[in-house]
Amino acid sequence: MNKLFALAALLLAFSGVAQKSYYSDYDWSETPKTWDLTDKEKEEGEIVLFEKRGTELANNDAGELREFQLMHTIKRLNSDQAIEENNKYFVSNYSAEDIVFQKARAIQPDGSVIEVSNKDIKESLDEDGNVEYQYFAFEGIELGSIIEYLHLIKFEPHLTGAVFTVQSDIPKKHVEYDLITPEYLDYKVFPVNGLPEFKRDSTNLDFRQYILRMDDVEALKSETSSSYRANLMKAYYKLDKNYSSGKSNFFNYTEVSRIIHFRLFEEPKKKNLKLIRKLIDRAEIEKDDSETEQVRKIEKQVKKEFVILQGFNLQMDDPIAFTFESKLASEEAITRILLNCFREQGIPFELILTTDRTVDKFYTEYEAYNFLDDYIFYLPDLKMYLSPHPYSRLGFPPYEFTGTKGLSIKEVAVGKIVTFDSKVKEIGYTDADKSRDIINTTTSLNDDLSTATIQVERSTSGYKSLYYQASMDYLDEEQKTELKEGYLNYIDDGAKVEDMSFENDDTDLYGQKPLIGKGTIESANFTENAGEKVLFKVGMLIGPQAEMYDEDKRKIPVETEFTRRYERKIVFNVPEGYEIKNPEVLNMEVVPTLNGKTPIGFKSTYTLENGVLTVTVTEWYEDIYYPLAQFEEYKSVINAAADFNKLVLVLQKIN
Amino acid sequence: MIILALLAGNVFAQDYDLAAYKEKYKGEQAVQVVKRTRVTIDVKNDKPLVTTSYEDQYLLLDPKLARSFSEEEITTTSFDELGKIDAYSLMPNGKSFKKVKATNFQTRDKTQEGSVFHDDDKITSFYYPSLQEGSVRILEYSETTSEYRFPFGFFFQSVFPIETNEFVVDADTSVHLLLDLRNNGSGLVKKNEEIVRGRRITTYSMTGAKGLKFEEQSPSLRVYTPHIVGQIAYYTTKQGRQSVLETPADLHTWYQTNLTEVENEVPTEEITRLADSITKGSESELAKVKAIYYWVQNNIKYIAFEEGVNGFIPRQPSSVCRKRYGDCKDMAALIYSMLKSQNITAYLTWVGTRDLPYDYSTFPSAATDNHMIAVYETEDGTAYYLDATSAWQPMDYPPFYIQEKEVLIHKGTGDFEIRKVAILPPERTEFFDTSYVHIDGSKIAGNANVHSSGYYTTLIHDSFKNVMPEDLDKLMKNVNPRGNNTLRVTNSQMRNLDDREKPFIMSFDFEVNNYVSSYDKEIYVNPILNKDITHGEIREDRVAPLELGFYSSDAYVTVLDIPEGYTLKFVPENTTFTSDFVDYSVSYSEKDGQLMTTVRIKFKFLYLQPDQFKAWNDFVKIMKKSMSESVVLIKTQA
Repeated sequence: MNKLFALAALLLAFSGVAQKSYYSDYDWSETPKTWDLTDKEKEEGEIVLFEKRGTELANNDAGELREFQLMHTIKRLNSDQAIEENNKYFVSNYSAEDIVFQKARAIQPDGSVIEVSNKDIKESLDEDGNVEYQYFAFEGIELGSIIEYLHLIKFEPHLTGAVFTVQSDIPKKHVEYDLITPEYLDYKVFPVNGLPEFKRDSTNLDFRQYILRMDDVEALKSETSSSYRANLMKAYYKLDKNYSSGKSNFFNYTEVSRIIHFRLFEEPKKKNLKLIRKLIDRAEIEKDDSETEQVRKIEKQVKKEFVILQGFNLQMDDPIAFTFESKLASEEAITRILLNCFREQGIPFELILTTDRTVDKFYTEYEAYNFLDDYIFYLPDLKMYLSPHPYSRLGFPPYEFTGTKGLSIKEVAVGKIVTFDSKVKEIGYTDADKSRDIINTTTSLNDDLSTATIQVERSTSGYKSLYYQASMDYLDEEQKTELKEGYLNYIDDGAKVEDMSFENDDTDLYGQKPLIGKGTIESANFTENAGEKVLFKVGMLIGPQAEMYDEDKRKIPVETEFTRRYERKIVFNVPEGYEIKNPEVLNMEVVPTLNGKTPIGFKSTYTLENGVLTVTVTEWYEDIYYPLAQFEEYKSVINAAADFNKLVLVLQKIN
Repeated sequence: MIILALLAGNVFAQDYDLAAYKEKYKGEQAVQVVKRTRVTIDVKNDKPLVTTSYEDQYLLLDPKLARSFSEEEITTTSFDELGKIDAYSLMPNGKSFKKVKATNFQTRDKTQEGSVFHDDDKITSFYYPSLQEGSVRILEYSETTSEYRFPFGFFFQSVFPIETNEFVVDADTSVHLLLDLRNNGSGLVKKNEEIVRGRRITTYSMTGAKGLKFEEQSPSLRVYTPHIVGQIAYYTTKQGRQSVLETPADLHTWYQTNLTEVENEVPTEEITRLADSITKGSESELAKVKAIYYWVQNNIKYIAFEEGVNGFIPRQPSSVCRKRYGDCKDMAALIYSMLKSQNITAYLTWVGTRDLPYDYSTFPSAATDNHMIAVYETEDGTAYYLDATSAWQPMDYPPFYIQEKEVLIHKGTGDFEIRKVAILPPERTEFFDTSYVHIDGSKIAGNANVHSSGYYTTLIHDSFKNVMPEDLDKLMKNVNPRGNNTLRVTNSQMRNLDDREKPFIMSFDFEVNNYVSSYDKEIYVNPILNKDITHGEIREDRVAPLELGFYSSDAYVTVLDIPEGYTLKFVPENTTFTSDFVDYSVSYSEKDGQLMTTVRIKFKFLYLQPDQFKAWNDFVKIMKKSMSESVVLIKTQA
């Protein structure tokens, strides 16, 4: 992705006088500082006492802009785990031009200091013999030791958007963040999740400097059903102004769209167009195929023909030709091929650039390349999204890219001139009805009521099928059988499934048709003997349920993967001569009202007729986001299902 | 690109009849058509020279496998010199094949992962383009090792079925080998030996090897699949017989050279001072050994640097002591030196973990070990195995992963002893969980006391040692599940967290919702709160033995208060099951208004073999039945 933007750097004309790095004289104090800690701080297994990060732009002797990154961390380690996690240190200096200085030391509780010597710092080389990262081990660490690490590394400047992540799962006593540029350049900073604004520091007249100083940054721990990383306090920043040229706002979405349009939408070479047309032929599109069918066939053919490798990033002059020749493809190459297929077929499309919402929210107030890591297509005629990702299918792109925003680029023709139109748009998410998990069971007990025979029929659609259906084609027969057994014995883990039959067990049908499986389970796990009575564990028939019984002090809002709906129908043939003494327990309803609607809920009802008990259970989650104020309600629905799972019916002989 | 069919090898499509293979290997995604390894041993300049060449051919039966098959890599250590790599695929092209060379060869340092922090391994990676159904992926390359004492070997089974397995040792007749064919009870591996023009050619072959699927709790493939381990025993030159590795003495002769530096280092002042302070107040020699052993466990962190021969040589104890980290050898060396400073003798000792199922006495080889410890022997000959990499190992417990293995104890130059580590009986590792509970509506509530000893404590201790106070209840809940997932744990307490020699005791209050059913005057409750105490039924087609880490003895007791005004109406029958691999019982007794339910289970195997699976499953049925019984309480007073 980033290489697409190589052009962008050329747009910036810098005229600079060589400057020494502001940090070139930065050093730790020869005698380590002593720390006054509160009792709580002393108790922490691991605490950052001091953290300083600085990013500085400065001109080198050749008048070229360089970026210096300063990192200085002082951490106290007071548990074996903290020592084990911190005694090995890795420094990624990928693409570094120079390590200006680098030092590390451990300070013992008795004050003695052991500095890591340069010869003990190991290097890992990449295929070009460049240092990819360095690593070393701190020496002499014991409980209560302090480790200190300091480096200044010089890079080619990263101007298009970077981030300081200030918060982590470790408390920090004091942090300092700096952004420094020559006077004629200016950064724009965008703090999120409660991080205070950076302030202009004008004490040094030679530089333009923004600083953040903060005490006691609270640790944030990960929580279930949350986007932990997207909720951490952080500051995005990018180069924004050049006062000497009078230019500003370099990295904006109009500019990105122009570059993307220029690079990705370019008209393919004739021979490549031929390859694409042949690919479309192989997709066997019929004359009267609807647009949806055409898109599905193209997607199927492309994902079948090419091996899509993540992180496959070969430099190549002609990606389309290379991909057809080698059958090996990056997601970007697949994007190019899909785009050209759509264009060839006259199928309207928009290309959307977005980012994993569990890592970064797509902010609209601040435009930078941070949020443009991934591609998906929007097909306006179908009102559906499509992703180049190998495991996704039309309508169900990886959920991380749904329920967020993205930069949409589409081609428009103005007279004979083809240009583009772009804007930031909401990326929708699928309805709960599209991702359903249905389990219907019919249960009879054997003569001595010790074993249940259960006919199971399970059907999953949309994202609820992802794990099972999308992986089908990548497994061998034995693994497939195992997966299918797991699909059906979900209600009774490990139970043997007989007479299995499946429909739509095909990766290409993911998102299109539900996966349907049927089978029979015989199990001794559903009844318990209680003297003259038998207990029937009816609740187990809805399958194991996630629970939030212990979630008391929630800090991060609930953010789910996708909206979904569960339906269960339990048919139980009451054994002849027996009756159910407590069927009323089966009536449950937890349907909270949120903003006047009922987007979440759990409901179960039953009927008992002619010796047949029928229970209908539904559970639904129609939103992706639930603010903290709605947490208790969300939890009550999750736990209602978990409660139902434990219900037991008492069967008694009729006298 | 080259049209191979016309040039070399005469590869025509019928050589890889896809339809026939698909029929024969139904359900498989690929078949390894050829797996061939040839070890060539010459004697040059009076030294053996070992070159290994590899030939692998895979036929893709399922196009979807192209994804994972497109990338391949070869890892080499600093002892290996990688020869030319010939990697290509044959792409079906009508009646013949088109040869497509692998591309993008890259050699880089291996990314550090797993337990080794630093080594000097290199990875050569490359891509096979254009793989599709019917493609044949071929890799041929050779390696020369600079250390002829290293063992070599060959496995006859792998993830995919292997049609033709062939392992050839082609050695000058002056070279004599130790070749050990393991796990060939089925007799499927055939051996052939012939002497051709001054070369002894030993060939092991097997056709139609089945693919191995992942099975949980499986031991290493070395434990149960056919394979060869081999090495040079000795060779003859004009000067006569040159020993390499024929006897344990040969191995020791080689190994002892790695210890010279450690043995020669006089304990430094720092080490002596430290050892003095640690052993202060310890009266007996044994107490001193213990104090030093535990200090090293507590204070030296595991970090492994493995560069070339340094992967075999322990670092100087003074350096390990200063750095406060090291690998197994370094820790053993530090224990050795600290004890030496106290005039106590300990021995540096080689040992392998149990996934290397070879004995020094029958196969004296570097394949037999991967670990180093220190051994202390008392006057009566009792051996203590001191392994400080395991941070919470009581002194009288050898690490569980070396039980049943032989250790090679270095007693001095040319002097060594081999001992076999015993398996500890179940009584040495106990888990004894008692819950005192009462019924509160549909809830049960109460408190629990859990005693853990031996290897159980070794396994769980770390989590408790590192837990933050606010997370203790959650950890307690995860380690001690009971009832159902509504379990709530409060007031967690720990005892003996800092004393290895006493059982680790956990106690806590808990409640479980929706656990008790009632109707009319009756209450139903299953007093067995933890029903998931061992592996369930084993699939009949399982291939691998089921492995446990150690023998153990567990008990789960529930003491249930009979509610005021209620009496016991029904109590399930007792159950007893005994066998040579597991003993199990459930018993009920009523006393003073309480019902006591006791579940006991004793594990008496490290490997449960396939011929025992049926008996195991019969046991599981009995166990499950005994656990699906509820007690009935009836209200007798208003």
